[in-house]
Amino acid sequence: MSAFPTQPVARTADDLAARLGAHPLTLLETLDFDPLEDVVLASGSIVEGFGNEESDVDLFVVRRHARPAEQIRWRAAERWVDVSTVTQDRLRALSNALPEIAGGSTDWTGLPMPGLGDVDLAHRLSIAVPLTHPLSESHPPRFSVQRLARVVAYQNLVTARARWVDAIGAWRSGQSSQAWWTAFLTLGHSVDAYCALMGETNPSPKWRWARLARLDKQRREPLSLFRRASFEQLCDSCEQTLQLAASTLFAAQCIFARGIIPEPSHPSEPHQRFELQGSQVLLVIDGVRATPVDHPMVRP
Amino acid sequence: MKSQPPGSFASTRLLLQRLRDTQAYFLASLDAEIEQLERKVSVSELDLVRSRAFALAYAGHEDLAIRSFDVLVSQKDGRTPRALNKLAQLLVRRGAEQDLERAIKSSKAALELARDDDHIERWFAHHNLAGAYLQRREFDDAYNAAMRAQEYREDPRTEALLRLSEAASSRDVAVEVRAQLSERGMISLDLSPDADLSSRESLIVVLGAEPVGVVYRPPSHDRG
Repeated sequence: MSAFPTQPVARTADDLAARLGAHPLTLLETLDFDPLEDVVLASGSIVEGFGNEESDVDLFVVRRHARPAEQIRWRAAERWVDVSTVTQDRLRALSNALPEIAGGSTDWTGLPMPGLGDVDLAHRLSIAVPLTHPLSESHPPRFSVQRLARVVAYQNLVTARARWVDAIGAWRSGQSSQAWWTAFLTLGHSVDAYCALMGETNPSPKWRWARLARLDKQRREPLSLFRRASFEQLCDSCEQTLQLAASTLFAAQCIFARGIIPEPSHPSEPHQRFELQGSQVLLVIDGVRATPVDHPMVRP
Repeated sequence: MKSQPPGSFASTRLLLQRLRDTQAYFLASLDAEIEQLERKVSVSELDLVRSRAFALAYAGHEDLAIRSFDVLVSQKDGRTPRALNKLAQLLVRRGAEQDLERAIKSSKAALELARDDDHIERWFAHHNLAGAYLQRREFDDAYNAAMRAQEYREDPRTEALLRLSEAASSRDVAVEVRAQLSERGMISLDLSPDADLSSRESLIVVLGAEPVGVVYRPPSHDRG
């Protein structure tokens, strides 16, 4: 992870200029927009601090009417730029599509969730740098990062629980490679849930290591737990991977619902895991059977 | 301004004189831009955009100038009455339907921002509004805008716009008005044969929409 030199999220056009070697105002001079009405936002991996020499820039133009997406060359920065329109109506709908998930919620299945495309767009807009300041300030994107974080975390927790069932089923059937793979997927989604709760709301799995690297740099992660998420250890054995996935999933659930890291984080058997359910901690056996257990998490 | 028969010696000479005056004004303005830029101790990106916008406008590169002005007025610090008016003027000159709509919006924004005693910019905004409304055949609005412009500055070009609007209104659209971009990036108003005013004169009217005789120094951009 130390080989991933991440940067913080860019906050201003000047931040972006320093990062790209060209000021975004020169990019705007190639763009067709209404300067008094449209909001132009820069986003993407470079803004987010994960980008590299090949990364392009995403521009979102918030305007009244839709226009086809286009790709333009930003010569001053030697970058490609993807330009998309987000209509004001779409922005409002997107904002409304993100549900508020209550702090103590442990309902891991029943909540209606927006599609991945909506969540991804909400994330990109939430980190976007405004390049224009129109007369009317009534329609810049307003997303609660905390709300977005909980949606991303919740979606990953739901998926992680499902992959856990797959992993245990494969393990009990002797499909060790499939069990390892689905346990690894469980772990990945659990890590993504954790990262979201720490403010890393990019929902794309491709940036998992970047998210962890930045959290590592900020010393905001429980290193003892997540440094184990390295390929070297994962490849050791299917059982180890199952236990690591179980502990990470439980930890992410506990941070989601209670804001604390649990100890112990997994049972002694590789095919079992703890789960937070309301005020109880359950022991999940073989993926589906669950019984309440005495766990420090539920003690006064 | 007294009308001259189209193509006459007097009218052509008047045209040439006005063209010379206008170009001299633009040249002086470009010099002022260069001087101002060189004098700055610290130059921001917005300063550069501002310089490019005005210089391109003075040099007659209207499409490029509009792009730079769009960027300039999209920024809080760049959105001065002067910049908004200059953008509106360029859009009126280009004269496409969308341009005229934007010119009206830009002129109104300039009026919102301009100080009450900033008669030059208030005149400029109303004058541009008159030009935009005229091309949209909204002759009553054009007339009213030209009347408002005259309150701030007695100007023969605004007076001509006023007469055009009045003539168009009273003749129930007897005068056909449309914008034409010349090869030099300038604008003329094409009038029907029965119009009182010659197209040559109208060319001068809009071509010289800068308040000639007032050379703007860049610091005045910020003051509006």
